[in-house]
Amino acid sequence: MNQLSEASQTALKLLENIKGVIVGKEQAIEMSLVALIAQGHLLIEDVPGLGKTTLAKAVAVSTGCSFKRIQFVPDLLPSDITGVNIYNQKTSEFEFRRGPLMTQVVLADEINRAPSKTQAALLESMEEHRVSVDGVTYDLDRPFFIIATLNPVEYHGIFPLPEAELDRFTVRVTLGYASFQQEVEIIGRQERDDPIESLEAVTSPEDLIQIQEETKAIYVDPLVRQYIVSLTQASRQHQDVVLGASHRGSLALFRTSQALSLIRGRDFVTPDDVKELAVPVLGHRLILTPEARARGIDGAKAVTSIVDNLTVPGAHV
Amino acid sequence: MSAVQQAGAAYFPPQYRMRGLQSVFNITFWLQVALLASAAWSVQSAGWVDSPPLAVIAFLGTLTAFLMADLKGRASVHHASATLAGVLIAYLGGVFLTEADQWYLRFGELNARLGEWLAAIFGRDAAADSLPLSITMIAMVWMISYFTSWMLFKRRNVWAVLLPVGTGVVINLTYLPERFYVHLFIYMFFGLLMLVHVNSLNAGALFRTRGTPYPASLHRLVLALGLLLSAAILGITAAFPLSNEPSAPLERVFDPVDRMVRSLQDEFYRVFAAVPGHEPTSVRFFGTVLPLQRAVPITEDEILFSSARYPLYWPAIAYDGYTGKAWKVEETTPKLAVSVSQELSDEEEEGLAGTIYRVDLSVESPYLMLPGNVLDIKPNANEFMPAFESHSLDIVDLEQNQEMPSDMQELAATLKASAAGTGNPSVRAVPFNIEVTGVVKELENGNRRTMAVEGEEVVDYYADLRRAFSEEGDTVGLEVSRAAQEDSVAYVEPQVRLEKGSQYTVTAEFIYASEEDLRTANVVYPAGILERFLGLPTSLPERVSVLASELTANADNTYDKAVAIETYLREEMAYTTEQPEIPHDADVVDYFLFESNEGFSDFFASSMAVMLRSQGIPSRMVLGFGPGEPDPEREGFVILDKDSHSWPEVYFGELGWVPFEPTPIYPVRTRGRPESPFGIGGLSGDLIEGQLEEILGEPQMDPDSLDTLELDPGGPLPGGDGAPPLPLRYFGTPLGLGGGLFLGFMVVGVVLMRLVWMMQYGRLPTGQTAYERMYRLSAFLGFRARPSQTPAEFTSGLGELLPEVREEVEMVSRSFVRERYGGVRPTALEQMRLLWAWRRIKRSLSARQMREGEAVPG
Repeated sequence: MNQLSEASQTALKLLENIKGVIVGKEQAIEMSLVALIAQGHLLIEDVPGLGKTTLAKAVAVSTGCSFKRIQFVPDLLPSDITGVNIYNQKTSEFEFRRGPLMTQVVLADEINRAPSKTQAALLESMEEHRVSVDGVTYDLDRPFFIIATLNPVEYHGIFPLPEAELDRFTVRVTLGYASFQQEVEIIGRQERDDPIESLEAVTSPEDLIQIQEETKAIYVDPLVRQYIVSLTQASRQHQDVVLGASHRGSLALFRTSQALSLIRGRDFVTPDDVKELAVPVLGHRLILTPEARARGIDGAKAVTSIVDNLTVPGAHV
Repeated sequence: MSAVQQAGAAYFPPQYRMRGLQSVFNITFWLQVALLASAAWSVQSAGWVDSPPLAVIAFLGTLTAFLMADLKGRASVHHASATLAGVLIAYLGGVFLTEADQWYLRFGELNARLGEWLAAIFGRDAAADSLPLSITMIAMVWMISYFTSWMLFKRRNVWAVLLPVGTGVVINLTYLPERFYVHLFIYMFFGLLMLVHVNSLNAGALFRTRGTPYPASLHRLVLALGLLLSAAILGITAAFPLSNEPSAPLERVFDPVDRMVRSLQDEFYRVFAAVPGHEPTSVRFFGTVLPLQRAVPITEDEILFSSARYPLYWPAIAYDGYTGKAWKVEETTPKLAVSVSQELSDEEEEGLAGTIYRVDLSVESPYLMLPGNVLDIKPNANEFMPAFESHSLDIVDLEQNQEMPSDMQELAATLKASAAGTGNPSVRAVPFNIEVTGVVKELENGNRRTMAVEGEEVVDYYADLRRAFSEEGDTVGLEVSRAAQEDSVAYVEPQVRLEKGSQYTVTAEFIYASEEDLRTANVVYPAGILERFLGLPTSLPERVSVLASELTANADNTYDKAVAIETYLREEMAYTTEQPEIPHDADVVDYFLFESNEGFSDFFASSMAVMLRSQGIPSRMVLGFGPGEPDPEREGFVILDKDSHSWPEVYFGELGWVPFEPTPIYPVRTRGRPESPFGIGGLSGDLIEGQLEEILGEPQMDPDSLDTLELDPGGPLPGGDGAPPLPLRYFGTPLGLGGGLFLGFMVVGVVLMRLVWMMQYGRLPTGQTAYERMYRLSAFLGFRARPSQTPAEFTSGLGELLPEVREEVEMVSRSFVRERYGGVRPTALEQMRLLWAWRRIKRSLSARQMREGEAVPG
């Protein structure tokens, strides 16, 4: 309990720290922390210039993790991100040069611009927490956190990610434009220098790993587990959905709800946590029917409708 | 039925309605069956009459109502057919109980017996056949089962079941209280359970109409709780000793009921004379009809204490009509209280003795028991009597009295006779229950004047009266007043109820005629005596009068004839206290004399009276008490319940009614003055002859002896300053007991229920219970949670609705969520705060409901 509240406090410190450099977007910040603490990965779906990089950097700096950014382009090869074996003539040996993926926090910018091959390498590392180069497997550092961005606006020269692969991302958020007031404030903050430059770490990667481990101890009542599973099951039966959430979806919902509870300072998960996470966690995992898409329904809307029609177990007497 | 209840009845959830075979498992049905069966069982085991198993009848009635409650159509048609079925079942039950060998003969027998019974009812006879009661019982069980069940299944009205059935059980209880407590307990157990069950069902229905869930689990909990509590309550009450004395206030409440029931009871005994098994008839039950199949009292309960020096027989009521099954009081026109109507000669004076005796009643009695010829009763007899009636008697021209009640006419005639020669009537000719308020004298000049008679005390009164008579001129009229009476003075029913502990003091004179007096008595029968005391039923078999005339063949006077019959009965018949089983069509006297040859005092007395009547000698049957046992310490006689006795009295003209003793366990009545076990003279309360004469004012007046005369040897009299002691009533007792018991059960039950409820839900709420209450109440008031809402979402909506208690609402919600999903129960302090929060929320919700009418927007 004490340990847990310590972890909670650390998580809160992180949250406050990041909020210090990003104006507004509180939900997005919280969700990215949730993804981080749940040992998942974050997908930010948004147009450029809204602070994706700042968010990723802030996360990396605040946790004291190493940070690299990979700009995905159509000619990006898998070895460009994983690293490559180079022949060292002095030692007459092949020497492994680590790619940008061998970092703790990676910002994979506009992943839909890279060819599928490269995307696959990225996705493999996300799932397996390791990369294979020339038959040698290298374990990635821990914590390992990928923040990928998708640019939904452009349609030229992109390799869209299959929905099935989007499943690998634990949480998807959209940042969206700031409000008028917030934008004014953004300008004001950056008048002299970027606040991200003066950001300091509030925790260490070791602490972060500790928090990640402790999150798993958050109590999830059978009623809440039931709720999680009935959510994903309902998504499989929904009329607008061709392919519902997978088991991985349930698991992600489970882990993230634990993480959210931790951030909120609780040692148990409530149905509200699950409900709040339903769209960010499940929204990008559903494949909708063409008719539904034609009607303007997207994953988020479908999930919302599922949640609105599902009885919360244990909430009614 | 309120609108809400109506809605509840209309919206009974499908699982509580019965459909076909599912109904086999209906709890309500089986509870009702258990309830009725327990009541029927208690009635059956009371052994009122033979009957087919009443529990089965009750089951059939319940089943009928159960099935009919689901039928469509007019209720009146259902009821009519159910009633018809009840009559049919009762009739068939009657056929089942008849004795004929062939089944088709049984119908005939039943019809004949029912006809006889009806004839007896309308002929004011006692009906001794038990069959009609069996049939009535079956019909009643059926009807009660059907109608109460119908009310239960159709209207969900549990009180319509509990009250009638409970009344039945309690009435049954009045007969053998000790024996039927177990039945009462079983009934109450099922009753409480039923109460809990049906109320819970109704609550569930009401909740559902408001769209609030009322889970079956809650109903089961309530039911289990009810079961537990019912058992606990009954266990606790069973462990406590039961008081036999109901409280005085309760008694007062039951008093009107008691009176009503007494009159009903009289009728009941008349119509169902054969009902055995109930409590032996004690003085409390002496009615105007005495069925000759009553049980004999054998208990040692004290009935009264008499301060008389002599053993006295205590008449309570005298019967003049014999029906073959029973004795009854036929004449209900007023009669003189005592039969003193003539001046005794000097020689006869010697046999005269007077006494003052005090009677302390240990039980309540409907009658004043007054041995001897009463001169006065203290407290004043009039206090015991109904409203006064005043009459002006003309004792010269009797024609003037034509309009008056017959006893007044009779009194006028008596007074005229006693005034013959002297011009003034005898003081003795004025009975005790007549108060003379004025004496009208006719002066020589033809003027009339009225002398007032005012003495309060008996001595003053008689002195006054005597003075008035001795004034100048002839007495030509009397202003008299007496209590208006409707009943025959064969018994004296006081206006003020004689309760346990009541006392009254009687000044009476006794005429002890010797055997010789009786043999030579000039037996002249005044008008009315022969008509009234010679009646016999035509159904009386001839052999009775044949036997009587054989027995009296050698006697030439009334007394010897009576003694001959008395002796025959004493010697030939055996005494037993066993309750006889007399065939329903037999004459009781005939059966006793020629078939059973054994019985108790009722049979001996009846036989003697009937045989005398058959020989043309007027006689009556007196029910009362024997002389009891002398109690040297209290200097008097104690009369117990087992001294209950009856004897015949024979009319000896001027000597009045003379008792005989055909019952062999009692000694033959002495003729002449009885021996006193305490010796004579010098004892307070005893009147020696001289004193009596002083009262009656014959030869001389001695002021000294008047001063020493103690008229009120007893303690405080009822109606005075002292509060009367707790009364004990025959009906009030068990009903008061049962009612008090039941009331006690209910109170204890409600309190216990409340306690357990508080422990479960109330005392300090957990987050769960507080939230559930809030949820239910707000749903009840129309603000419902959508299924997809989490507790936090629901309560944030509720908080917006009730901004004044938003914090409390959120606190309850947090607490609930933590308990439900986090498994953390609130601490005691939190529970405390939850309790306060809940109270404020409740107030707020109710206030809002009142402000906005029907429902809050959901």
